Amino acid sequence: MGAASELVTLFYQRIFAYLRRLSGNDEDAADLTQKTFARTWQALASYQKRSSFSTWLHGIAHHVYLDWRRKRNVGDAQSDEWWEAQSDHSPTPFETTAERELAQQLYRWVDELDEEKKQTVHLHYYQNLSLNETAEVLGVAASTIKYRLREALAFLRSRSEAESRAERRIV
Amino acid sequence: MNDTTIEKTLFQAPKPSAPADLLKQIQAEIALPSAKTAPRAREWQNPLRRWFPAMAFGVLMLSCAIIMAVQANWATNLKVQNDVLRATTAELPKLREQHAALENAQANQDELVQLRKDNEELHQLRAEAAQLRNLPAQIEQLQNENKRLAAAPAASSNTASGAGFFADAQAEADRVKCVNNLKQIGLAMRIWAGDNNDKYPTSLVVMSNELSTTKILICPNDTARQPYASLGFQQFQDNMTSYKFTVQPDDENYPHCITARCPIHHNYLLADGSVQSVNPDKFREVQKDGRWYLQNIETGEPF
Repeated sequence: MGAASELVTLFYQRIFAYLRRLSGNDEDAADLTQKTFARTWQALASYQKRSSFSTWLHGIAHHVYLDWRRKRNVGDAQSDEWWEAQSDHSPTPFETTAERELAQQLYRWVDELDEEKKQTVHLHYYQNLSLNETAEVLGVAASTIKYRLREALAFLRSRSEAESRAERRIV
Repeated sequence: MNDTTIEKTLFQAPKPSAPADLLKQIQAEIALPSAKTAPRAREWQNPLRRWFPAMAFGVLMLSCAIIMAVQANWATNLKVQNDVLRATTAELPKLREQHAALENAQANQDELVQLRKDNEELHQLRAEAAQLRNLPAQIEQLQNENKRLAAAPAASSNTASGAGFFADAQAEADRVKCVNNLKQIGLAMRIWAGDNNDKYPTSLVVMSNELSTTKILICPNDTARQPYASLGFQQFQDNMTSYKFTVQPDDENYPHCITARCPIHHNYLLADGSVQSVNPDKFREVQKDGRWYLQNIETGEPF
């Protein structure tokens, strides 16, 4: 019981953050986090130690999120205010306001990606999972993850360039 | 914004902090599976899984040991057989000699059997030759007996001979032929009567159209009239026939009266078309009301 409590302490913040970014509100994220851990205890006997516990837990969270999304049929994009609030309240490495605004815009564009690429970006960049871990969580090959990330970066770059051109035109 | 900047920015995305009470809630809901139930499912698997590599290795080693033992056994057996064959090879010339002697003895045996068969055939042929020597004497005896038997019928001339038998048969055939002639004449008369108001013809020439040939008007035993049988109806006359006609036009009403008769065979054609072959010692002809009938001589009754 003590070990389980320690596991929760170690991972609940990361899982909540992952589910919060995907679900879009605190209540649903908290529920999904609870469900993730409840399902973790049920499936603990089948944990084969083929991957790290963190990866396995992210896999469960991913499936919990997919089930929730399938039932609720919720929209993809987060509201602009949320990202702004997060940037305002969280300690960020961005020093200038321009950099912070650019980062917020980038996060919004990530939410415009299709579901598979968005999941890949969330797990790899936001959750700091390696390519292999991301591939294991999503149940695809590592090469597929690389392809998706390349596509996502190309999309974000194109959006960024388009934005820069629009700003120059205004000036 | 290049890819490096984008990636760096994404890696530094803000991390939302969880609500304060979430940790307590999750910790309160920790429900680990009971210690008994979880391992139970794998209890029976664990020993197998744990010992499977060792068991597999053991089975492999045991199989190898068995195969080696079997091969060693085969090798020993082959060595023994090889030794036996080598020992036998040393005696090979002697065995060949024995084999040749055996084959020679076998050939002698076959020759002996053949000679015995030939001897038996020779004895059989001798017996047949002896029989054949006796045969001419038997033939001569049979010829003598044949001559004696052939001479015997000539000596007894009064006994029934083959010639007499054939003569009787010829006579009977002639009698039957005569009966047939009369039957055909009766049939012709009845046909003629059918065309002429049921009146019988009083002349043979009149009903010549109903008769097929003049031969039926001559009895086969009437040798004197045989030349007339070859005549046609144009040359034939009523007095040339062998049969005596007593027919009258209205004889159809008197079926038992005689219409024609053969004086040689005593065959009678009656008015009803039937032909009666009677014994003259028992029946005779009687005339009544101008017509002739057959009558039993002893009883006096009509035929």
